[in-house]
Order: sequence, then C-alpha cells, then structure tokens
Amino acid sequence: MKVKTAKSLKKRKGLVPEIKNNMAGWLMLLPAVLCMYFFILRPMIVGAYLSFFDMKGYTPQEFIGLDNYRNVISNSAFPQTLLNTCKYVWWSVIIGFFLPIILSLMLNEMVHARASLRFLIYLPAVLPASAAALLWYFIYHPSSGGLLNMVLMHFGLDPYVWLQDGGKTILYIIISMTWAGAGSNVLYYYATLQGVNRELYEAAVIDGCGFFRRLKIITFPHISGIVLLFFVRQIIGVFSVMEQPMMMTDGGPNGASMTLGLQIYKYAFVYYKPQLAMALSCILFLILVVFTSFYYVLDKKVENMNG
Amino acid sequence: MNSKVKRMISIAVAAAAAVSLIGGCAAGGQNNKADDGKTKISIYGWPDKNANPEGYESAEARRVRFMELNPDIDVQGDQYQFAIDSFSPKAEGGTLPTLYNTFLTEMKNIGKMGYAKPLTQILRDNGYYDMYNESLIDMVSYEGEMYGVLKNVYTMGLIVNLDLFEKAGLMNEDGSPMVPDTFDDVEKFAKIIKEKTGVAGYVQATTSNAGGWTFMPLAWSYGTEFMKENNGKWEATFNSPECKSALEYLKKLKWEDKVMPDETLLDSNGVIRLISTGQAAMTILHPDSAIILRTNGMDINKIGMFKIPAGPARRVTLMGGGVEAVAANADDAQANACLKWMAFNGYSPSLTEEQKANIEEDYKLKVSKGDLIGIKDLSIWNDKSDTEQYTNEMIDKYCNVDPSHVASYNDKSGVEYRAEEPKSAQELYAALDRCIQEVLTNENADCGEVLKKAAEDFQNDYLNN
Repeated sequence: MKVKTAKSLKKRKGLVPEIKNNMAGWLMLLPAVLCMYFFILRPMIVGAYLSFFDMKGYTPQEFIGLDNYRNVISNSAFPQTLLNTCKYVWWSVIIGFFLPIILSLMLNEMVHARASLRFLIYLPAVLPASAAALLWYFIYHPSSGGLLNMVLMHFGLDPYVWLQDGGKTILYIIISMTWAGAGSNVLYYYATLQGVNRELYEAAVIDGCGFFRRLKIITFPHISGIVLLFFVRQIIGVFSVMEQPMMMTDGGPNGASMTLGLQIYKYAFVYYKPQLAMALSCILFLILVVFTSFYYVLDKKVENMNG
Repeated sequence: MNSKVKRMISIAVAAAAAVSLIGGCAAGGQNNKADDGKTKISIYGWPDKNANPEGYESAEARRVRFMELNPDIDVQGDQYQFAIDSFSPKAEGGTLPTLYNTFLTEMKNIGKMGYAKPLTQILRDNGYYDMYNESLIDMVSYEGEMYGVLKNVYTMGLIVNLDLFEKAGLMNEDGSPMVPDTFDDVEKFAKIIKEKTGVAGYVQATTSNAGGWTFMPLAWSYGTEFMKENNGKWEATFNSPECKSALEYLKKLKWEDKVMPDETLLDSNGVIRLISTGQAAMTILHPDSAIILRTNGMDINKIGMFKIPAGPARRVTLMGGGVEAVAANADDAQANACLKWMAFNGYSPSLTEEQKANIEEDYKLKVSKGDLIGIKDLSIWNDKSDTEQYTNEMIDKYCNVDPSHVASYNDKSGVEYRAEEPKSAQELYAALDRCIQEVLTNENADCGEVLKKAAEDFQNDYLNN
C-alpha cells in the first residue's frame, strides 16, 4: 500500500511539470480538443449508449439490450439497403476513384491551357453537395426537357428515364457525385505529381522511355501512397452517403438507391425512432472502423514514405 | 507524449463523457415567467419584419392589444414553423415556441414521444372539449390524451389546373369546370387533356411518403382495407384484389393511357410544381396545396379544387389538418395563456365581436397577399358552435376566385371521411410509396406480387414488432 501511494505521488509530481512545460501547446490544442469532444466524441458515446435503450424522444426509458439492433437488421429493407450502400462504394471506386488520377496525370502532362483546365476541373467542387445534386437531378430529368435527353434527342434517340431506371440509379448518382467531388482529389494528386523531380522524367526520356514506361517506373511509385490513402477515404466517404440520394431519388425507385445514411435520417426525423437511427449508426460506425483502421495504417505508411 | 499524460487525457475525456451522458438526458426548460412575473409565452410563425412588413405590423398590433386585455401575459413572437428535420432537435432542446404548429399526420408520434403538453384536462376546464367535433378528438390524441388542438380540418380532393381544362375543352358554357365524378371520369378527362394539350392529364406523388398518403383515398374507394385488429393483434390486409385494382388503375394511367408525366419520382412539392407550371392537370392532394400553387406563380383563377372522385366501392377521402400544440415543458398557466391567445385570434366555439374582427382582419390580410380564398374546410366544432358559420361567411365575403372553381370541393355531400390508419401510418405510406414507384417505373411490374411483398414486409417489420 505504501509503495502504491508513493508511486502515485511520483506520477502526480511528473504530470504537472509536463503540462507546465508545454502549457502553450496544450492551450493551443484545447479548442480543437473541445470541438472534437462536443461535436464528435460526445455524440458518438451518447449515441452508442442510447442505442441499447427503448426511448421516448431522446430520453432513454428502458434498457433493452440488442433489441434495437435486431429490429434494424431484421427489417426487410436492411439487406437491400446494405447492398445498395456497397454498390455505391463499388461504383465510386470504379468511376470516382480512377477519374481524378487520370485527370491529374493529364494535367501534369499538359503544356498548354493547364491553368484553365485545372480551374474547370475544380469548379464543381465549390458547389454545395445539395446544389450539385439538384443540378444533376435536372440534367437527368426524364422528360424531353432534361439536358441529357435533349442530347439524346438531338441524335435522334428516344428520351431515357435515367434515375428512374432502378438497375442503374446508383451508377447515375455516383457519376453526379464524381463530377462534384473529383476536383479536390485531382488537386491533391496533381500537387503530389508536381513534387516529383522533373530530372527523373528527363533522364527516362533520354533513356528512351515512352509515356507509359515513365508512368510505371516514376509516376506510380511516387503517388502510390496518396492513391492508397484516397482509396480508403473514398470508401469511407461514400459508405455514409445521404444527401445525394435524398435530393435526387429519396432512395427510390422502390428502394433501389436507398442507403444506410438515408435510412438513419429517416429513422431519426421521419419516423421519430432515434434509437433505431443510433443502432444503425453504430452498425455503420463498426463497418467504417475497419476501413478507418486501414486508413490510419496507410496514412502512417505515406508519412514514412514522405519522411 | 508519455504514458502519464495519455492516461490523464483518457481519464479527463472519460469523466467528461460520463458527465455529458447525464447532462444529455436533461432537456432545456421553458422560461415560464417574465421578469415582471407575467406568464410568458412565445407564438410560432411570427412574420418576419423585413420579408413581410405588413404581416409583422398586423401581428405586433394584435400582440399589443392582447397584452392590454391580458396584463398578466407576456407574448413574444417566434418565427419557427414546423419542419420535419428541425422539429425533434428543437423539441429535445426545449427551444420550441410555447405554442407551435404541426400537422395531423405527426400527432400520434408527437404524443408518443412526449413532445407536447397533454391538454385534455385544460380543454375540459376551459369548456372547449365538449364543443369539439367528437370524431376529430381521437385524431389529436395518443392513449386517450389530447396533445394538440385542431386548427383546421381538410380532406384530400382533386386539385386541377383549369388552364389545361380550358385548353382541353373541359369547361362548361357558364365558365364552370366539368368535374370528374368518378375515378373512371378522371381517366377519361386525363386522356382528353393529354390528347388536346399534349400535357400529362394526371400526376401521382410517389416519394417522401406522399405517394402512400395520397394513394389512400384511391385505394379505399376501391374497397381496400389496409389493416384489421384480431384479438389484439394487427394484421396487414392490403394484399387484396381491391388494392390490386387501385394500383392497376395507376399502372394503366401510366403505361396504357400514357397520361402521366415522364417524371415519376415526385414528392408533394414536385407534384405542385408540375400542376402550377402547366405540366400536369390533375392530382390528389389537400386544399393547402391548392393555396401553395399560387406561391409558384399560378393564377388563382386557374386553380380548381374538386371533391374526391368516387371509386367502384365508395367515395371516401382522408382527413388531414393543421394542429397547434403546446410545448411539453410549458406549465398550466402557459397552456392556458396559449388558449387565450388562440381564442383571441378566433379559435373559439363562440365568437365575441373582437374575435370576429380578428378573423375578418386575417382574411383581409390573406386577400391583400393574393392567397386563394374560397375553399371551405370541415368544422372542428360541433353543431352548437357558430364559429363555422361565421368563418364561412367570411370566406364567401372575401372569396377571390370564381366560386364554381371550388364548389365541388365545398359540397361535402356524399363524401365519407376517414382518419389515418391506426398503426404505423407513416411506415405504411413508405411501403406504398415503394409499390407505386415500382409500378410506375417498371412497365412489367406485377401489381399483385408487389402488394404481396409490401404487405408481408409491413406485417413483419411493423405490425409484428
């Protein structure tokens, strides 16, 4: 007992000087820590805690264990919603992941009009997600007045239903998301590409390397870290997609574009069942934790590579 | 960072989290008393001083007059209007106005969640309870307790664009519109409109639960029963030939008659947009939507409101309405003050001269804003009340459209009124949304199969749980 007390005293002794020595640093951290606590950590902890309760409003009534989770998972729409969310991720990887890489490589190789093209590519990124969704809603409009249908009709083709084609709704939503979100990714890739020593390319050209050979032996090794990082970020971001399907289809037709994120919103605000929203949020959180772990491992790897 | 510091941060965060868990359970409270000891209430929907100066002046003048008559009450305006995504956070945070507005469709959930103050006893004490139209009391009640008071009751009807009716030759010689009496007539009218104008004759809402909501009168009129109670257990019964016929009716309009617009994924606002911009001629919605058409720039003389068409089984429609409720954390004095405010504005089964003057002033204000006046709702009061008669006199006096454009809706004869289904109504609407979407986006959809799956899922997801 005596030993323990002495040990704890020693610990306390060490703690205060530690803070005193770095007071300025701790104070600078404080606003960010408080924001993180109030806007991220606290809601997460409270949400996870309340997901085990039956609730009246947001007031817990009775501990019911995993019943909310059972309720959410056994809902007939859950399998389709989960599958849809995975489809969003799949299409976003196929389209939204590779396109910015291709665009940034293009920008990097361009000699003329590079600044203008960079501006044009980034321009959609300044639009709020909801505004971009609304814009694409009218681009995809199924009537003859829809922008894409006007193009089709110009070439003598019949108008197409676009978002109302349940089999492809997710694909079309992802195209609109890619349009709106690719610009900022392009900038990151482009910045990384600009950091590659030009002498390496010059040496490769002298050695007779063509474009694709240069890409393989110089470009890809330099950007592979950030590419991996953005790959995981893409998955995490798209897994919680909500705004775009809400604005463009409300999850339809017949649930074809419903996502976990939109379902959470509906549980919380349309059906007044926040306990189910919290349970589904926890399920989504657990899925994302796996991807986030990858993200941090990769982030560390990229840091080491850059370091 | 050494382990001691890490541990310290962990302990601090854990302690703060624990405190916040306890704190998170406590909602904010109403500020019940003003500094001078008066009962303080805040009222929803207060006009914005800059955006609506005329409305603001009128509301302020009325507030001052009310406080002169009731020196123990302090009234403050609050611009909040009910919105589905902001309501729960405000209710939880205790920041709702003392008197707030909502809709009939939300009342069961609001009562269940405890977001409104129970009013039954207060309404009994004030003599209101016995004057209500008895059939409407249940609609604002949850487990036998009234959580709000109906401000107005409307029923679903057929909203039409009369400009398209004119172009399609569907107006009588005296300038009144021809009224489709049955859903078969609606189909005939829609075909004529499509043929003569090239525009969709009929549009059906399909998303945000509006599809299911507006499908109810159609399905009921075909004889559908959506659920029934059997020994205390509820059973979904809409996998039936009647409901299938109703869904097939919509399918026929879309794919065979081709009288629906290409745009299928539409909520109420989307439908209103199509009607007001002349891209569709008819839809089932409530009269408030007819009034909203005007705000989309539609000429009020081109708006028609008809009674719900009859189906093969009956002519039946769904009731809806505006509700006013008192915040859950208000005390009795505040609830009574809210009722006094409502009564001052004409919410009373018997009217004083001042109340009559206030009602008339409201109509004058609406006319000056260009709102459509002429549509008559059901009465919330029973036969002993003279309020409905006075309100209807005001509507006649300030009617700013050709009365024939709304005469069909105002003629309540032969219409059966129904309230929402008793169990999981919003979830039922969502399930029906999906059925309608499937049928209107897939030409080969089998209505029977679609309904079978929807009924099974609804039973398992909501009625068995």
